[in-house]
Amino acid sequence: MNTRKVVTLFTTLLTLASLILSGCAPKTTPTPAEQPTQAPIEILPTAAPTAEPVTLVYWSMWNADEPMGKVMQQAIDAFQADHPNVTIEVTWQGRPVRKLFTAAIDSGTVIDLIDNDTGRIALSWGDKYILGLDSYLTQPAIGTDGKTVAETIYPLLLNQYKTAGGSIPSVPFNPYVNLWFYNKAHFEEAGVTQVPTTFEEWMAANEKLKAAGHPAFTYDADSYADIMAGDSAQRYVGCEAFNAAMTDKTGAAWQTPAFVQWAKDMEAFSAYAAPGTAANIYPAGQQALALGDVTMMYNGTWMPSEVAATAGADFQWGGFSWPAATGGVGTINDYDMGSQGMAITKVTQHPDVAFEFIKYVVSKDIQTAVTNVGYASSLVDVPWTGPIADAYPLMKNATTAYGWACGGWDTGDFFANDLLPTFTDLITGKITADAFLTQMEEKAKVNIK
Amino acid sequence: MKTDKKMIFAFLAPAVIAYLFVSIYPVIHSTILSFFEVSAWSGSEMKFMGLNNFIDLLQNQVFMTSFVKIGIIWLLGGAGVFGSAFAFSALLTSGIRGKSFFRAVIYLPNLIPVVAAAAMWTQYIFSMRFGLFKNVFGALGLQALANIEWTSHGVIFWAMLIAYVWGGIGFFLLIILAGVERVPVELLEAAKLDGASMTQIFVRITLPLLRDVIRVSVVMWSITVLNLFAFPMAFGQTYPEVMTPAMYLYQLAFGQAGGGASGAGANGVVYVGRAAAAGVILTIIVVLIYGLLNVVFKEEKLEY
Repeated sequence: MNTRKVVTLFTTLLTLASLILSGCAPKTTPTPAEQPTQAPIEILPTAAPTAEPVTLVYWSMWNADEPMGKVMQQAIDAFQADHPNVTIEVTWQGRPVRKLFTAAIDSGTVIDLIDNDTGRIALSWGDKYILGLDSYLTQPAIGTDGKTVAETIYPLLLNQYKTAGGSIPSVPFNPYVNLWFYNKAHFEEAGVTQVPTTFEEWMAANEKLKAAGHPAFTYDADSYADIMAGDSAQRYVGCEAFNAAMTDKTGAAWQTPAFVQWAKDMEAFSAYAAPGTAANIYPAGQQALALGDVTMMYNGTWMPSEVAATAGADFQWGGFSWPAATGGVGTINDYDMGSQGMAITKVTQHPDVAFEFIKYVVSKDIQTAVTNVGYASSLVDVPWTGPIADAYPLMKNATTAYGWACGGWDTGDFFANDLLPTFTDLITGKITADAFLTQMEEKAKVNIK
Repeated sequence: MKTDKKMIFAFLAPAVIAYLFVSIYPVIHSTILSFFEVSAWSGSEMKFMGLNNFIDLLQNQVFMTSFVKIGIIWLLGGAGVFGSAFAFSALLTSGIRGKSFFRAVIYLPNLIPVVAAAAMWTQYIFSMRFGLFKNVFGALGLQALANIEWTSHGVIFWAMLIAYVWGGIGFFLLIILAGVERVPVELLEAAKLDGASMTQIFVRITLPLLRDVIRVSVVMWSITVLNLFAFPMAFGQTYPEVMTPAMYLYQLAFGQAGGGASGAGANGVVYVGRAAAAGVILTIIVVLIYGLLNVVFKEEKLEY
């Protein structure tokens, strides 16, 4: 082989290698629908922690032009108006911030404030990157009659995720809770006068809806099979047993009475799935709900905002908790919930000023602005409005919070690769409960290592 | 003309140095990482694992199955893409009117961003509510076909394959068309006069003269398919059935796709070292395939 050929071959191999080893792109999260924002907000200022000129760098998970981005800008404007010596330099990083944050800190970028999922802040970033806020949370909140910051926020949200060291690392300001959203007009038309609280009541309601010509439920099979499986299982077997089954290579759990009852009920429920549910790719399912093709869909409290343009102002939104199972472990006061939280990084030189800004974000006025753009507030005393109004009393009565899809994603590949497709087959009526249980047992024996 | 080697070097140096820097560094760094356990993109302690990352991957059912998927896409998708591209090239070189228009139309899918193309297929063409397939098959009385839930578990891989083939035809059509148009008309006419059928002309004359074009096309198709990432990600990233090796690599490196709109619940654990090992395995396979194709399609300078 002559030199030219060697060089050509080497260059070719190098090109191939670099193509393969460098090709990745960040994924994005769907942007909620546009909502009108409110007029500038006036907040009664608290004592400024410093008179020195201070600049806080805030990396935001929002985009400037989305509703929550505009609310955060309102908080920044209100804070800066009351603290002329403080400048907040916000970078609207959007959802990819979760992949950029730690690398930025490690490479020496100074970031004072960061917002993200409270679970990610506590468990992924934790004590290494994030300041514990426990001592700050006893400070008086803004606009809430002398209560401390901790006292104003739902305890379930505030205490849901702590760092390995036991600290509360973020202040929830934009929570969600999963529930069944439904079309009240369909319920009324079908003669369903009360929201179901038990599986039996639910099946009776589904039968009435069917008689009235309304397919009862749908969901986006590519995006929300996880919460359909995990949150339904919570009612029957509880998250602990559910997660144990995801890692039990004997497969024995799938033939225990609680799992059998779960599968049987889901098989019965599958009779009311809207045609084509198994083929729904986000956002086809939630669009079907908004268009009135179907009556119910299980989702987070952000969903009505996403379909607001399709549903229109006259859509009669209702919501109820996943009904309880007879003899089941979970109750209707247990919820899959979470929140976006504001956190202070460990590299900040101005933690006191940074927390002062967080107090503005969770002030009553800013949190009311959050509800005005269709989202949920983390303050107990700020009612949720519009399409998610029904969710507010549910949230106030909640007794237990559990993680997304009962924590299924944290258990390994079996949840995503084996349970979710098989569960979709079950709940869309493609297989029976017996087939589901047998398949899961066999898959567990083969695929769980 | 006398060649001044110093000048050649001077002009090439900036590009070559930059290329080597952005190419060699990631390759070497990834290869090193592949022998370690690395649980974060930065600031993580590295624990030497020997060949364990590679062994884990080779024993991982999802990763290995993803290669089976790739094999099916390469073979059946390739048959669809090249079969269609050859058919269209035959049509377009047959003297049809509006050749440029049809060529542009067939190439058009390549101009549509991947995410938009995937959304078009999943939300419109395959829609069970008002989809093109549902309506067309329904109108033709083919209810069994009209009722297929294309984007459901169990079918979605084939749906993605159809959509992917649709997106690939135009690009390879242009390459093949350029080759076909280079084939001397005299040869084809002489064969016709000698009584050769269209099939004989295609198999005995056109195909052999397109040897180099086919070689380049197959190499490009192979590399494209092995690195297939964006289209299945946009098509149905949470479905294991459409998981490709590159998607699995991405999941290892950046975390699971799941966790809902807020990303809640995803524990954020990443396996950078194992992802690097997956990259190394992919690289080795591409190099092997490239070498194999070089053996199968030996480079011969055809002059005609």
